[in-house]
Amino acid sequence: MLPLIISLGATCIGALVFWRSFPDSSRHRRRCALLGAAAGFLGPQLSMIPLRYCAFEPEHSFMFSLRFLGRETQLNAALLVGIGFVVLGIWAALLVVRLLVEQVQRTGYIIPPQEHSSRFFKGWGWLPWLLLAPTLIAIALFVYYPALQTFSLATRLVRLGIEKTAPVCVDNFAQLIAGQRENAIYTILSDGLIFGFDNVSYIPLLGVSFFYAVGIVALANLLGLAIGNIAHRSFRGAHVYRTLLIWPYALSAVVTGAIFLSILSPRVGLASNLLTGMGLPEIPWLQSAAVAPWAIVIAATWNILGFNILFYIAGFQNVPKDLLEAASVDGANSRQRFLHITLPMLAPIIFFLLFFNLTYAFFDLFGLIDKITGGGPRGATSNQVYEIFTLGIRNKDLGKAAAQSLVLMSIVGLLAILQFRLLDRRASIRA
Amino acid sequence: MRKDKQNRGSWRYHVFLIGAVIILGTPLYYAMMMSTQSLGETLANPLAPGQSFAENLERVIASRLHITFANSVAASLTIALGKTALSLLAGLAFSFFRFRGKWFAFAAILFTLMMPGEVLVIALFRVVSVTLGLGNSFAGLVLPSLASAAGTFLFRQHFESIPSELSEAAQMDGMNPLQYLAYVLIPLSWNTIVALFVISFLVGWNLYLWPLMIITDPASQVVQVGLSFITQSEGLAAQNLGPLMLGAVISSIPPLIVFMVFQKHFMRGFAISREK
Repeated sequence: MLPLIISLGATCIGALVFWRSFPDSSRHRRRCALLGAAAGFLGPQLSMIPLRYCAFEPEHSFMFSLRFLGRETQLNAALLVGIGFVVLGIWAALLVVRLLVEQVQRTGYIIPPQEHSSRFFKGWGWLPWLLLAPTLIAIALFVYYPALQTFSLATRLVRLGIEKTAPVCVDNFAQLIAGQRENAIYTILSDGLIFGFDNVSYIPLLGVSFFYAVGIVALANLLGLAIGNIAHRSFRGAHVYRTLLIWPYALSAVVTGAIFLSILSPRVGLASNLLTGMGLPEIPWLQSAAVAPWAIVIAATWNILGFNILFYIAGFQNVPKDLLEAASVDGANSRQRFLHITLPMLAPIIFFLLFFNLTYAFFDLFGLIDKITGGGPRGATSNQVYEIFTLGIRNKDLGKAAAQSLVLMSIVGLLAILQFRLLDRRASIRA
Repeated sequence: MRKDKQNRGSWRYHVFLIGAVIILGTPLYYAMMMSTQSLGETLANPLAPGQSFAENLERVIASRLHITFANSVAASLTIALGKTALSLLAGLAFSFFRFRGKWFAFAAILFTLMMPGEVLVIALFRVVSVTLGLGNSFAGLVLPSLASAAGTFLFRQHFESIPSELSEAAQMDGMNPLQYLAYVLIPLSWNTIVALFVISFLVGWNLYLWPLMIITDPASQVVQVGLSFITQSEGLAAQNLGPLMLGAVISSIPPLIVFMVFQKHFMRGFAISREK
């Protein structure tokens, strides 16, 4: 009964959304609505048929309490996850179909016809496939197959080193919402290993990840702009500085982590040396949950700043000199010139670095965190990727780790969509 | 007159940039100094060279950094060679052939461009170790890094910039596509080849999460993971980080050399592969 209601609802939503979003092409409007209905119907089925709608079964509940407006409310995490899956499914299906429809409206085809060019070799039927075979096999085996596996692992109980698995419906996801992190109970496993985070609420983890993202992007771009603004000028010895400033970028995350571990280590480290030398109190870089995330942000910024500086130098050098001179003849002061000429000309580079650094902050901090804090104190510096490793490999719970990987995958999707949207807007502003 | 103005302000640039270099360079300098110090020397004066280089080196060798170093050289060279070769062939297929299903092959590769490896690492671990049975092996270490969407596009883009006349002439002379690749394309593409090779080498050298998961035998581990063997070695005070710093400095020599020699190639290649 419930599957029927959900499917019907999704179909109606799909039809309605498409009916409303293509009002101009009245000739095709009905056909678009039909397409939308089909997409809406298929969307939830993608996730729900493999799960057999188990998230909505009453015996499958995962209660947790939430304080809302001063009242304690009991909520079913499994049900919430199920609803989330359905909504995501509808949204993704509608997005894909809509992009296809727009492509057809704009160009008249889905698959672009291949150009004719005298460049092409003729009469080598199977050779191009042979040339592509290693790449295609490798991405099928090491990207697409693991991506599918992630979905199936996420709905099962999978232990590292044990072949057998058991379906657990959406429990792995439900625990992301319903688990408790604050009382990070350090459970002792049967094999005697001590570990934390058996039951993790995902919210603080997201907080740490976003803190890293904002901190690193802001610091690396502000400092990069400031240094690039000076280092791009032509004066004697400028290229020496340019070379010296980018060296840290050559170091790996692990080496950077090791260096900052020794700088920040209590009592013996350079940081505490300098502070106590000036008669100031020591900062508990690695022991305090409030300070430790800053240590990660600073180390990460130090590591990648050279890359940003290099791109900003190139960007500043591409700003036409005569434009700046004309503005200064017209009486624009240096701040006005920077805000109204230089900054807009730098926009493409800022945009590129923003996303480049954002991707770095979300996905490339593992080595740094592992070396400097090991995720501690009490999980305060652990981000999503680090947690996936802790959960999947140290705690041997591959199922839960896979569920977290899927959450991370949706962040990848969000970043990609954001990037394309902004690119579109930028293109339209220019045109 | 402009020149005058520039020179008048330039001492401020020097002050600013020297300050920046000192702040950014201190961690590097500190690491190098520490690699020659014992714990006592670090406590006495962390920013002066110490006398314990030989002792630190002994510890580093005792924790078999030379073995993990060699493993890293082998793995990164294999990854760099494989990635460059695979991307070259795929680029050739996309740029010089017209075939059924080209768009799908292209889209399939394009789509992987935005998927960071960390997202799939759990399932990949199970695929490589359980399904393929390559856990704790060199193949398991390097194979997942071989395919490269960015490399394929790099070559495709570069090949499309090569005038069609060359390919026409080659076809009229009766060259087959592989001869064309060997005698015409590769000689014209050294910049791109070197750029991709160097980037792939650095990426391979810096691998950490994947080897940490897939390699369990310390003797076949890579150098980034091997660094932690130093701090785990017996009888070393937890606060004595001199040997670790020496290991860090040693493990950074190959990327620093590569960086120094190929800086121009590297940045050019990076700009192309990332901006496009």
